[in-house]
Amino acid sequence: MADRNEAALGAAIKALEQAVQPAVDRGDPLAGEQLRLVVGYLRLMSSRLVHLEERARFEFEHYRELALALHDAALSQGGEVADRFDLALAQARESMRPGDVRAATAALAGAVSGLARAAVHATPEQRRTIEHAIAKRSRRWIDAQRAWFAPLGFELRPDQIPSLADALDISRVRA
Amino acid sequence: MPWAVNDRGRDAPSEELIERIRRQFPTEREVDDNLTRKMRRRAGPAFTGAGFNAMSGYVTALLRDHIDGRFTISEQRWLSGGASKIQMAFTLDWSEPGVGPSRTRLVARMEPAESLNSTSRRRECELLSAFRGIVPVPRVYWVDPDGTWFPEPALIYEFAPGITKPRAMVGKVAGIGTNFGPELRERLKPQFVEHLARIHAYDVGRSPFEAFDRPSVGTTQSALWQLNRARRIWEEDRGEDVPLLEVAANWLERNLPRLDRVSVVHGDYRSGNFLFDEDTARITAILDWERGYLGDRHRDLAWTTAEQYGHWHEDGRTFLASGIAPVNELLERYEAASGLRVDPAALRYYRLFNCYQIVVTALGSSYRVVHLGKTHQDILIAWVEAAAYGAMEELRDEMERTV
Repeated sequence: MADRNEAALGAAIKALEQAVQPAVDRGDPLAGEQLRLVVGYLRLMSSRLVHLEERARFEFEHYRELALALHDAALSQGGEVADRFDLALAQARESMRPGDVRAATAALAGAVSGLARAAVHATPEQRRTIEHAIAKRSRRWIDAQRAWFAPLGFELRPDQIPSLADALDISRVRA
Repeated sequence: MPWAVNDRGRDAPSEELIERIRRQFPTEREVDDNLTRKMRRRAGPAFTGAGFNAMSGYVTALLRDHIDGRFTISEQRWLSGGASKIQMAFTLDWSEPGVGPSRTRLVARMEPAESLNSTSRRRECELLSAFRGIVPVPRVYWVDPDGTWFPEPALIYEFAPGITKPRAMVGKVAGIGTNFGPELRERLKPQFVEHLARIHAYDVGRSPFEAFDRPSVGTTQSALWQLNRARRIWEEDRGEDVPLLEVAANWLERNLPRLDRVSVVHGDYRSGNFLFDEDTARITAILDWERGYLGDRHRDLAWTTAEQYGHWHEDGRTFLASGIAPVNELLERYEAASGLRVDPAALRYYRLFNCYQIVVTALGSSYRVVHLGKTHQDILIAWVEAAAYGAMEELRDEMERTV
């Protein structure tokens, strides 16, 4: 089935560059700057549209694996922290429609964040285990965000960022 | 706990939520006032544009209450470059007290409905006034700190001549990563360092600084106020939970540095926030004092030398802080110019704190502002999200090795 969204985004970029840009007052720097930024963001979205679902799935899997790795630590905290973990993991186990993935991902991220916040009251050893696991396992997630936004040009070392396909682990997500 | 408030709760915060977050993260009074104001107004309408007629009307209303005699304003135009404030340049024909008939080029600088950083025009006015004659700053004419004449807090100051980047260069967002080129860089370098040294060496007892709280030397109060400010903003603004940010906040709180001297901290001293004359290579104005506070100079030093605001030298190996100088050279020049020591431990702490701050702004505040359509340039702020992840990786890498 043809993807008309991508074609329409291309048409929008073309219209802005060929019809709108020549008509923008050169003496209005705010308008000129915003036009350039709109075109840039549309280009980014056009190149990322096909990967939106893979990105959502990747983020879900990342947080699910992180939560599973920290499940014992969360249970040892007890109380609301443990309850939130169990709820989020139960939600993640259910067969989900695409719209549910984002909610499940948010619940997992919230549960792990709560554990990290509660870690200040844990023993030094428990705290270290929790904080270190989160820091170490967050690398993949950050890499994926950097790869996603790399075309916007903020990165000082773009050569150190994985390709979007590698960062999102697309072969695994599609399998 | 993170789940105590959701996205909708942040879009339209209750008074109970606002108070709970205030109590959780106590900070300076002026900062508290600005953030509380932001939250109380958040459920209000999106920003729908400030036309020349409307802005001119606000300016005229203020001038009518401050100027004796006739005046006219003309030659209005928008200014671009910043990421947070609405700025309109205009010309005022009036009879200036003590001068006589004058034609003065001015800038009206106003908050949008909600800014990427909710800061104080009162503070900006006090700092610009204090540093007049010490470093190049535009003269402040009038301030509307509570939005009496303007719909939002605003400032009217002298239009400063100059540019933020070489004319031949295509501008980057908010001046981040500006490349001045080898020759201009060398000529700007001594001034850039000298002005920062003067700001930090300034005797804070010389000015009343009524909009500022003064932290106690020998304590961690200054660092804690700044951390609480950033944590509070994350709590108020974010659209998602990021576990790494909690780990970083824990570490930052465990490692607060003690203050050795109270300095004026500019808060955003980098390329993009000063103007220069391209022909003479003279810095004509230091701008954007809105994040200024009284505290630890290392915060500025870490900000100025942050990876986010520099670029690589033509040799491809040397990092140029703020596009001006290699980090070590910049810090050595700074020590010589200011007579103030650079403490590597404090510098490291503030480098990580700044990464945390950048993520809070670029991921948290930018989301809320764009989501609610609160500014005149939401598209620029949408771009800013991309700046969050380099800082986040720097933070993550340190946390993995440190905690």
